Amino acid sequence: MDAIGVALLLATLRLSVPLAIAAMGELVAERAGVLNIGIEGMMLAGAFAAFAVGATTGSVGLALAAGMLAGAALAALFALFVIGRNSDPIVCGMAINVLALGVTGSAYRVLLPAGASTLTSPVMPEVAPGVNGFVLVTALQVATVVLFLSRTRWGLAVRAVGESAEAAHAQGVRVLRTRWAATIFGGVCAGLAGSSLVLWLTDTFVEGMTSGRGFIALALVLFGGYRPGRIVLGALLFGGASALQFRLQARGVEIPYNLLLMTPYVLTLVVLTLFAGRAKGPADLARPFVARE
Amino acid sequence: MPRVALRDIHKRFGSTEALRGANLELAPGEIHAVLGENGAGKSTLVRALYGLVRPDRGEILIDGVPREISTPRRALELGIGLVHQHFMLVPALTVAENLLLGEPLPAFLRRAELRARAREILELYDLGLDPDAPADSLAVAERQRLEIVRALARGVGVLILDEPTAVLAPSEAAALLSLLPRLRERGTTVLFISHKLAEITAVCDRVTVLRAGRSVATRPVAGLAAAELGRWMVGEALPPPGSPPAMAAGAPALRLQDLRVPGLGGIDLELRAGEVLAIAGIDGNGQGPLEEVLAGVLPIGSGTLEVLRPPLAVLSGDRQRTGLVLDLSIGENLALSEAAGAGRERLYRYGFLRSSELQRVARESIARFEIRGAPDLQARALSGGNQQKLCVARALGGEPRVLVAVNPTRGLDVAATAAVREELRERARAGAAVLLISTDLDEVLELGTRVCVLFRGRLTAVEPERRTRERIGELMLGLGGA
Repeated sequence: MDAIGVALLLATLRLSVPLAIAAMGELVAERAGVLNIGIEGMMLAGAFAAFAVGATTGSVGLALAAGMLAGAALAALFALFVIGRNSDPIVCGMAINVLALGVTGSAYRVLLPAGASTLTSPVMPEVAPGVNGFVLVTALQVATVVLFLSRTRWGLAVRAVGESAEAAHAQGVRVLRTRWAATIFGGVCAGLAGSSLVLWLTDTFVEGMTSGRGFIALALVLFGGYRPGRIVLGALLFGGASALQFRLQARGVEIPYNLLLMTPYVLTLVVLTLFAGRAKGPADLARPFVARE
Repeated sequence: MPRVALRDIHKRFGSTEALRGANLELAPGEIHAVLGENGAGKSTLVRALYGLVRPDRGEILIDGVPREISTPRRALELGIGLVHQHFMLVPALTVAENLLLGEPLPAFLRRAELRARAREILELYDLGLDPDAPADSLAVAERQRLEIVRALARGVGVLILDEPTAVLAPSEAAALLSLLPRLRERGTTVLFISHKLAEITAVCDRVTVLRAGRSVATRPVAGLAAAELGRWMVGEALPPPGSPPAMAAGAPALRLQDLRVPGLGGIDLELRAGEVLAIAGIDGNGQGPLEEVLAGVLPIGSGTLEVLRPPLAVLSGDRQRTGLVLDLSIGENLALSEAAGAGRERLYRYGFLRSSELQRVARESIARFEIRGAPDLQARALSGGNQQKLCVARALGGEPRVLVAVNPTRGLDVAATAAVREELRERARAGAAVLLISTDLDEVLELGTRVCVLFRGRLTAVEPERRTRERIGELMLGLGGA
C-alpha cells in the first residue's frame, strides 16, 4: 500500500472511532428502551472535561477518567428526568445538548481568558503506528457489547426491558435499575468518544467541536438496525468517506467543496438504508414505564 | 391458616373506585374462583396481590404474616405467580429466554446450557415447544401454557390465572380446566378468575363473588346453584329509582336485519321512536362491534342497517378514548361533532372557526347540562362525570332522533349517573329512539322499555313477563334455556 493509502486508512480510523464508541453506548441504552438523544451534549461535555483535566494535569489517564465522568454525570441528569420522572426523552435530550454547549463554552472561556496563551492537552500515545488506546478500546468495546447483549444475564435483562418493560417487570426484572445502568453506560461511552476528539483528533478544545457527531452516532444505531456489526461498518463507512473527501479537497479536485462535504452523509445513509433492511427497533423504546399503579 | 388473605382492600383510580372493601382468603391447596362482572374489580384485586397495583387501604397476609408486596419480584419471592389476561411474554425473545427471564441465572449464559435448561423444564411439564422459537410465533394457547409452566418452574405455591379461558377456543379451555386438579394434587393453590359460571362449578372448590369492588360472598362450590351465583354477581333486587318510558308504538327509527360483522352473528332488531331498547350483557360479547358498526366505524359484513329517522348520534362510554379529545377545550370538543347539525354551520364563516359563536354554544351546553367548567377549559381538566356530561351535550346537541348510548354512566358517581339516565329518559319521552347498550344491569332495568341480552354475538329478547334480574343474569351467562 502506498503512503496515500496508509494515510487515508489512518484518517478513516481517527474519524470512525469516536462515532463507533458513542454509537455502541447508545445501542445499549436503546436496547434497554431509553432513547438518549443527549449523546451529542454528553460527547461535548466529555471532550471539555478531558481537555480541562488533561491540559492542567498533563495526564492522559486523568483526562480520560474526567471525560467519562462528565458523560456519566450528564447521563445521570438525563436519567433522573426521563427514567425517574417519565419526562419526554426528546425534550430532555435536547435540553442536555443545549446545556452542554452553553456550559462547556462558558467554562472554556473561564479556563482560557482571551489573550491568554493557549493550552494543549496531552495526546494519547500510540502502541503501533496509527493504533492507539482508542482503537483498542473500540475493538474491545464492540466485542464486549456483542457478548454482553447476547450472552449475559444482564444483556438478557436489557433486551427484555427494551422490548417489553411490563413483561420483564412481571418476571421480577428490575426495569428502572436496568434502564439507569444502560443510560449511564451510554453516557460513559459518549464521554469517552468526546475525549478522543481532544486526545487524538486535536490537542485542544473548540466550542461545539463535536459538530453533530453525536447525532451521526444516533443515526448509525437506527440505520445499523440495532446490530453492533452493522453499526461499526456504518461508522467506518462514514469515517472513510469523510477522510476521502478531506483528501480530495486538499488535492484541489474540481468538485464544489460543499458537495464533497455532503458525501459522507449521503453515502452512509444510502448504504445503510439499502443493506440494513427493515430492522425493528426495541418495541418499548422511549415508552415510559410505571411499575405500580 | 389461610395461605393468602386479602383484607378490606380499597383502590381508587382517578374518579373510579375499583375496589371498595374486597376480602379474599385462599386455603392451602384449593382451587378458588373469583367471580364477578366486568369492572367488578377482579383484575385490580389480583394485580394488588402480585405487586402491580398499590392498594389505598387494606392488608395482605401470606401464611398469616402481613406483607407489603411492592413488586412482582417480591410476589415471586413469596411464592405467588400470575398468568395475565393479556399475556406477559417478551415477543422478541425466544421461548428459552422468556422461560428463564428473571430466574437466578449465571452471569455468563451459554446458548446450549440455556436451551438444555429450558428443554428440561418444558419436558417436565410435558410442553412440546422449541426453546429457540421466538415467543411471538406461538399460538395463544401455547403462550398461556408457557406462562403457566414458567410460574410453576419458579416454584410458586399460589398460581393466579386471570381470566385464562377468555382467549381460548372451547377445546383449549377444556384442556386448561383439566390441568387445574392436577396442580391441586401437587399442592399448588390456584386462584381462578372468571365470569363464566360453568367453568367455576366444573373445577373449583370455593368461590368468592365480587360486585362493584366489594366481595359479597365466599362459598363452597359444591351444592351451589348457578342461579344463586348469578344473583350475587349482579346484585340484590332493588326497586329501580326511575321507571322506564312506557311502551310506545312509535314509528320505526332504526332497523337492523341479520346484521353480521366479526363478533356479531346475525343481529335483528327494530327500534321505535319513544322507546328505550336496552341491551344487557357481559363485556366482550359483541358490544364493541355493535357500537362500532352503528357509529359507522366498522363496515357492515352482511345484512342491513337502516336509520329510518336520522340523525343518529352515538354516546360512547369510553369517553377518554373515543369520546373526547382530552387536550382540546370544552368548546372545541363540542364543535368537533358532525352531528351538531344546524348549529355547526353557525360555528364557521368562510371556513374559519368563529370563536364568539363557539363560546356561545359552549356556554349554552355548560348551562343546560350543568357541566362544571368554562368554555376554554381543557376536557382533560374535567372530572369523569363532567367529561361524560360533555359527551352527552355533544351527542344531544344535534337533536338526534336515534341515540345509541353505550355504557353512558360507566365510572360515574351516583348523582352524575342519575342525571345522565334522566336525560336519556327525557329524550325518549320527547320522541327520540334510544338504543342503550350497557353492562350495568341496574341501568338496563331502570331505562329499558324493552330488554335484550347480548351473548356471544347474538341477541336474545327478554320476555316482558320474565323481566327479572335473575332471568337476565341467566341469559347474560348463556344459561338461556326456556
